[in-house]
Amino acid sequence: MNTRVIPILLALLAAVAVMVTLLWPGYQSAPPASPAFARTLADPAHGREALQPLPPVPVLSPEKVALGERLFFDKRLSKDNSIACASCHDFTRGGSDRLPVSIGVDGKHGPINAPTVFNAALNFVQFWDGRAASLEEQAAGPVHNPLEMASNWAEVLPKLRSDAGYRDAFQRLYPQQGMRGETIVDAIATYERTLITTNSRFDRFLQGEATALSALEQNGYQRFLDYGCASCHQGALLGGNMYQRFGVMGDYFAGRSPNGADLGRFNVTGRTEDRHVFKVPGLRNVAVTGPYFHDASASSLEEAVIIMGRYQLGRDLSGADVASISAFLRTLTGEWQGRLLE
Amino acid sequence: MNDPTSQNISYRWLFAIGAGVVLFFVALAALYQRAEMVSPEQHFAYTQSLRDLREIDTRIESELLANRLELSRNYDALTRHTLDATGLGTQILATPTFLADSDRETVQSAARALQVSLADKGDLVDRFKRHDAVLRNSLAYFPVEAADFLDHENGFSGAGRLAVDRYVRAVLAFARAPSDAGHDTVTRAQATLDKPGLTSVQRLRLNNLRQHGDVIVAHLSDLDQLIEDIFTLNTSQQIEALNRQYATGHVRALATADRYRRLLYALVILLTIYLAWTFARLDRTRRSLEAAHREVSSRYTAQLAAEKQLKLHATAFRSAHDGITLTDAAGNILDVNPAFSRITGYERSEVIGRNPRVLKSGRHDHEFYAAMWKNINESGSWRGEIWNRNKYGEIYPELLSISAVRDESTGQLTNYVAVFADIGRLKAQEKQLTQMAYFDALTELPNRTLLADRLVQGIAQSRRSETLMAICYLDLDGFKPINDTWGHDFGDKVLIEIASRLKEALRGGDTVARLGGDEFVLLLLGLGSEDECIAAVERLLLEIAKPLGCLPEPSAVSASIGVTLFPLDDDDPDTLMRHADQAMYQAKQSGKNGYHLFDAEQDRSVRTRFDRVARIRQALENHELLLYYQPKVNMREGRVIGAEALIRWNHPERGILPPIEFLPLIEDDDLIKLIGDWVIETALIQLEVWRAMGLELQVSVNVAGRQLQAPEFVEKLKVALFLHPTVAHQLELEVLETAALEDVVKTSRVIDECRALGVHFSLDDFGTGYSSLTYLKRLPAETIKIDQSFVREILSDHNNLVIVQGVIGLANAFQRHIIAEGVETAEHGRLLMQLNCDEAQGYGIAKPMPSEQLANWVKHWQPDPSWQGARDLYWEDFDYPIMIAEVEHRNWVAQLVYAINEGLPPPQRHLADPQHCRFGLWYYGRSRSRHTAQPAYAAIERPHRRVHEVAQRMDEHWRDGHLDAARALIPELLTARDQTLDALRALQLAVAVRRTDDR
Repeated sequence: MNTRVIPILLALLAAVAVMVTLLWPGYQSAPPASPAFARTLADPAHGREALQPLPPVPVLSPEKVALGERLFFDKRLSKDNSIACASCHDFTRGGSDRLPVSIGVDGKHGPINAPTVFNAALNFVQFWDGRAASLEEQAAGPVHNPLEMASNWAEVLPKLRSDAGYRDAFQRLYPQQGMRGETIVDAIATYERTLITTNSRFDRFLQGEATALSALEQNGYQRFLDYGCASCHQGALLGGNMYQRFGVMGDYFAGRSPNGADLGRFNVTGRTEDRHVFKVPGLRNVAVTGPYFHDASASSLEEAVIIMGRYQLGRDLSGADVASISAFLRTLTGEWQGRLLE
Repeated sequence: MNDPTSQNISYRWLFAIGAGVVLFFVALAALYQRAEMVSPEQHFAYTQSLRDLREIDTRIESELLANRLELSRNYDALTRHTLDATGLGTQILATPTFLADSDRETVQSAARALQVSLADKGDLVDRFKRHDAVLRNSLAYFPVEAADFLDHENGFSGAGRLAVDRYVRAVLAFARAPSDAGHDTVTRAQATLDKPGLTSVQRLRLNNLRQHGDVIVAHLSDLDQLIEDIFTLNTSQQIEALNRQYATGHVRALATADRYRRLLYALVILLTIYLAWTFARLDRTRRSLEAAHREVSSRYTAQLAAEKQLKLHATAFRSAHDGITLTDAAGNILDVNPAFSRITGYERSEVIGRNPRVLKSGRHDHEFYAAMWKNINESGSWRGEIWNRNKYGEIYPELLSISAVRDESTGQLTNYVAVFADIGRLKAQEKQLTQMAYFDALTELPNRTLLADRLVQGIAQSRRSETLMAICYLDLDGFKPINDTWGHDFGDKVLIEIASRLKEALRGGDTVARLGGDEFVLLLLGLGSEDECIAAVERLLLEIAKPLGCLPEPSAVSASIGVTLFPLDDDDPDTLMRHADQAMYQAKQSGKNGYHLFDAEQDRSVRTRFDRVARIRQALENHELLLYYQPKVNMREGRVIGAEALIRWNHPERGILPPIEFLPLIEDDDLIKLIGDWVIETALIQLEVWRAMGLELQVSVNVAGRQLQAPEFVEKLKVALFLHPTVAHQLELEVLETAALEDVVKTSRVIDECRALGVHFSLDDFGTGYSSLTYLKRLPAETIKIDQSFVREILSDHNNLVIVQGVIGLANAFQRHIIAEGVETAEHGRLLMQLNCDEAQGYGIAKPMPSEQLANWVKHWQPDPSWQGARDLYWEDFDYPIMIAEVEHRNWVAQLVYAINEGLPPPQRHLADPQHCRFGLWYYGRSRSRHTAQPAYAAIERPHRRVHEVAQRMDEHWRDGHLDAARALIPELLTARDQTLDALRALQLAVAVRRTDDR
């Protein structure tokens, strides 16, 4: 072949390659399914009954979960390195602090009772007033709350960056963003999503283990349904998926001196109708997460049941009712890492 | 590119091109981005979001209804769907970037509206959940509590009870089918409930019941209102609208992208075409560059070659042996080479710009030059011999080529180139050769060859002119005594004088030739009668009889002339000659100094050819034939080595006849074989006789070619040898070289066979045939006899000397024995010895003699003293120039003497200059470095100078017209010559190598 033709052929080849590259349509690549659609597809046949079993612990990136766990227990997230997430969400105390209100840095008292971190991922919003739409939003809250950790990312990040373990982990898990507020809370939230307390006796009962509940407890379950408790405390979490006014059938706050926290969702929406409206808390592990209500006004389960009967159901429950319902509520305590919460 | 401005311009250009390329690529990238803007991923994600949203929205509403209708008792799904919808509502705000701005605006506003609706819907759903939960609780509790109240509160009055019952029914009816009428009924029934007389517990329970009833009534309508509100939001329609608007925008964006893609495609095609064009142009440029490079390199090569050639030409021009003249078109000299100066004597600077006609000799007439120029102008060149004159006035011949040089393109004559060689020497040699071939060296008369030619011409001329031609065979009487008395030199002089007299006596067309010795032949043409011939012959006799001037003493010779007249004697040339010879013999017989006219008539009748052969046969039978013996000697050893047997016819009338008289007649006859046999037999007998006398010699006999080639020759020889066993080994055979060459194969075989018998062979007359190496190699004869014609002349003719020298060298090379014939003087012998030829025979040693004389001769023979002196001396090849110089000197003097004697101008130039004669050239040139150390060498100079002084004086006398004075100097000249030769001989002895151990 004539060698002079080669450059011309090469040029033509290059031109063809360029054209192919430019004109090759991207339509062949399959469109990724959107998360919502995927969830819809994955949605199991939804139970119509009021109470539903807890879903299993989701399988998430173990590294990210480990990083989140480390952060969750890291006191450097607080101003004076005294308080970690786990300080107020103590796993030995049912994921809460069992205090009326939490104690922050310098012994400051928070405004409201701390809810448990267990199964918090299943709440439709976070905080009593639902001001955080997600765990991520929630996690950033206490860090900045002057009554709680009293810090900010600008203070926290240098402290965490001095830790080679964090540096490597963030570098590996978030190669693009690196260590920053968003990634910290993402890791923490990922960890929190694994904090599901499965295998409670009630769940076993729902799954067909008839002997999992005693007669009294089964009686309590029935009354829980019949008396309308399950109107609000329904779903897998027995709550955590709606708001309700505290004092539907009677003015709970009458004769009290209500503080800001008592206004509930009003603090978020400013709507009159949202005064004293709170997120209905889930009753999972309720037996180990006292005291109860946002203001920790009920110290025992029975007391809480009675108050609920009066102000929410508009009925005075008998002693037997309270006993059986409380007995039922105690079957909601699940296991964490194979051990029943205490 | 050293010009700064051009450099700036080129930089500016580079910058412009670079910027152009960058811009082009930016444009290309932008186009690509626009064409690819409609990202399918984005599109699918967005449409998927819309599809999901529609699906979820539908589910929200169905969940809503399911909960309202108590088909579902938990809000997990509703809550999740609402959260999803809210999330998607935010998500759809991020409209794909590929939409056109107007489309994006539309889509985004629709999406914003939808988001607001979705947020509202979320709110409404939240409120729905709150109301639904409360309502559900009351709806569950109200009938149970009412029944319990009615069943268990027994103290309750009938009217009160009825009112409660009515109220309960109204509430439940409303709960089943809410309506304004139902609402009124409930309100009315409620009003009747306030009856007095109830216990506090009953009142409390009733209030509780009424509270729940109120909740049912209030929340039920609120709930339905909420559901209606939710449905009124009509999010599904909004979603549809958004979907439609988005689809429109997407299609439009696709169309836009497609336009960009087409544009890009077009650009790429353009770029490709441009690239292809650029490559094609580059290739063309490359090819033209290549072609240019090739041409430049070929031109360069050609130029190099041309330069080389020019140098070569210049060298050739400078170093050529031929003179070269370069002129312009007008003939003016532009340049000449060194050879020009050497030949013409003119320096380059002397002739530049001059016309070559300065060289004209005046020997050629105007017509010659005109013809020459005509030739040059017509054919472009001329070549020929021309006589020119050198700077010193000497005229010389040259071989001249003139070429016209014309301009290749215009054809205009630009130059002439003349190349010439001095052919003076060539001319001289040519003349000498002609002289040698056709003229007798001594007398310068035509020789036998030319005579034969003239004879043929004369015959033809006589026939044409119908006149007579006399062929006169002339033999001098009394010449031999002159020779014997005065020596050969004087003999030669006599011959020369006689020759010149003969020449003068003849008329223009006549010829006088010398056959050899003292025999001359004259051809007289145009004779009218026999008387006229006789008159001429008598006149010749008178001329010859005049006293000789060349001898020291007054003396005279006479002549005998045999004449035959053609065409009265109408025969072939050979026969005519023989007739004349016979007539001359007759004249001699009749008493010399007379003539005899051949009688053709008588001869024809009596002496036919047959008769003559018969007469010879008779001679054999009558024992008229006899053998003479000529001794052969070894000069160096002074020893007789043998003899050659030579046949003679003792003719009763003509005396002893040499073989030439009769053998040629029978060469082709078988008689020659009989005679040959007789010779061998006679020789063998003679050997036996001598042997008996105590004389032991080798005897060689001549064998004719015909005899040798006879089939029975060897057998006969064997018989003869067998009959004479004692002397068989003393016999040698001689065969003529020419005879041997007739059939080389056969001759060589015979020679081989004879050698087997112990008989040796000699090649006789060697040098007269084609003495080629090849034949010599193939003829196994032991001995080579150098022909006497060469040997005889070695003293006077250096050419013959060289020939003899060559033959001797040849014989040595082939390891053959060599013997020289024709050694006429002791000088000959000495020279031959110096040439390493030691064996010789000839008159200078002994003439052929009757057998009875030989024994006596052998007994008394003494070698020449000069030979004895050189007995132990040997000369090498490189000393031969000394011998040649001797010959040349002798010759030089002889020529001068001859010219002076004849009154002719001295033949040589540079008479006064001892350095320019051939001897001088040898002495001062070639030999100087070789022999200068020898005292004998220096001794030569003085006598040689003397020779020239005498010659110069003779020349001066001659120029002054004092011929006698010049002649008087001859003896002095000869003395000086002999002294020179003696000195030379001394040198020869001095350079010789003395060897005694040998032989």
